[in-house]
Amino acid sequence: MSIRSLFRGRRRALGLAVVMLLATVVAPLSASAYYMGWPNGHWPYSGGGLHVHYSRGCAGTFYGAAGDAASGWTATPTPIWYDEVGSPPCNGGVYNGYVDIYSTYQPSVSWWGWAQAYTLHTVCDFWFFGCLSSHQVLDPSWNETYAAGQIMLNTAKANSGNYFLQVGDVTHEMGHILGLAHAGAYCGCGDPNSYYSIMDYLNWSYNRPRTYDINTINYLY
Amino acid sequence: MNKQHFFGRRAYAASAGALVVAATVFLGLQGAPDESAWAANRDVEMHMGRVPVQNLDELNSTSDAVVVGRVVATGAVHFILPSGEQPHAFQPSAAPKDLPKDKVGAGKTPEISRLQPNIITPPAGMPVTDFTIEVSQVMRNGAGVAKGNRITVSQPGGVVQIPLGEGAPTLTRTMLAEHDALMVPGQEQVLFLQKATSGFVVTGGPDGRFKLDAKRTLQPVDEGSPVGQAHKGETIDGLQSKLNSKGVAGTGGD
Repeated sequence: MSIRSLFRGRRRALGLAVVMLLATVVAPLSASAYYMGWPNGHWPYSGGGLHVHYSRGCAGTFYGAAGDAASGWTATPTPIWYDEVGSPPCNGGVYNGYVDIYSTYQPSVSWWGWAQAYTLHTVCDFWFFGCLSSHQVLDPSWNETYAAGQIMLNTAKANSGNYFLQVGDVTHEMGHILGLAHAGAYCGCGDPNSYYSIMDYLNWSYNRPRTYDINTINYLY
Repeated sequence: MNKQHFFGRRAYAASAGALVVAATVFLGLQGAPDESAWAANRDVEMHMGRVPVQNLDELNSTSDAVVVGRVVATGAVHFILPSGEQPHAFQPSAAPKDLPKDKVGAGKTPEISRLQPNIITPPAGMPVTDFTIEVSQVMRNGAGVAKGNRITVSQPGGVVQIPLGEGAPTLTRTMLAEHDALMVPGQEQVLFLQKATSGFVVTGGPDGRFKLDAKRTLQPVDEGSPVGQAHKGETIDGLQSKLNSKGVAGTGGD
């Protein structure tokens, strides 16, 4: 082997190493460009529309805002449909296959809304060369396939002057139920452009899903 | 065939049969799932939508008392339930006016029944835990709190247990409000408090709670909190003088 061909080989190997190094760095970044949820946290989805059955009959003074928030998500260029269905009794129960919105009056607390997703686990009751009898449990979880969701809204925060925030609150909680985590911006702090997602903390700048949220949903589904 | 030989054969056959049955039972029970691994305790964040407290003025003006206190006990977990009103009558909502073109005319998917007796569901409502706090210093007092008092402070979150049925383990989940880790007995904290139906809640959730480090300077419970960041590293005396300068009625000091 000549010295020149040796260098050519080394250069090729070096080039390859650089390309691999770049790929290692860039690939995860591009894959996670719109990721802000949990690696496995989303509804089961196999293409087409993703229909999430939700009820708002127990949303109290947030009833109108809940409808507007659901329409806001359905209107996005994503597979998401928030389809309204009838309500269960307003007792806070969790139902497989449903996202139910409840309301409570809590004047002294700071929170406007609470969201929780649930996954379905199967518990085997009798095993003999396989599970012959089983039952299931709805387990609170964000990082598994979702089977149910629950939103509780604090009606002590609702008044005629803050409908905008009410819609933002429900849109935000519905975003969690789809698999979105908090985007993290706490405040504009003098710079309104620092808000970029409905999953930021509640604010007066916007109350519908943003481009960032739409991209995130299209990444998850 | 002699008698002894006959019984010997039957004994062999019976033994072989028993062996087959025992082996079948043994093999049949192999591979049964171990539910204890996923049922074991796991932290689960609860997502709480809120408008963050922006500054000390807001935190102070919305609080009934400001104290330094030590967590002395973790109390019971209880659940905030819905108001229990009658549900609105169901009227299917119309499709949004700004529906994307590719969604126009798409049908809905059928609902599944809500009656699913074979599914165990978690307790209804949002878990809340009561903590007992022993007050070591009153920085501002509008709620009749005195040094040495033991007060109850409720915080969102807590340990939830869901029995999975006879012979199965109990599902345990520690529910935590996002950015607002549950209080731990022994912790000494500066707390901005609001009166609640029974006891107190922390004003602004994590915004109104500061841990004290070894130098007894304030450390926000939530690093992202604007008011928490603004007062990170401040001494108790420094905070006290700021509270006094706000001109809010209070005792100050002890």
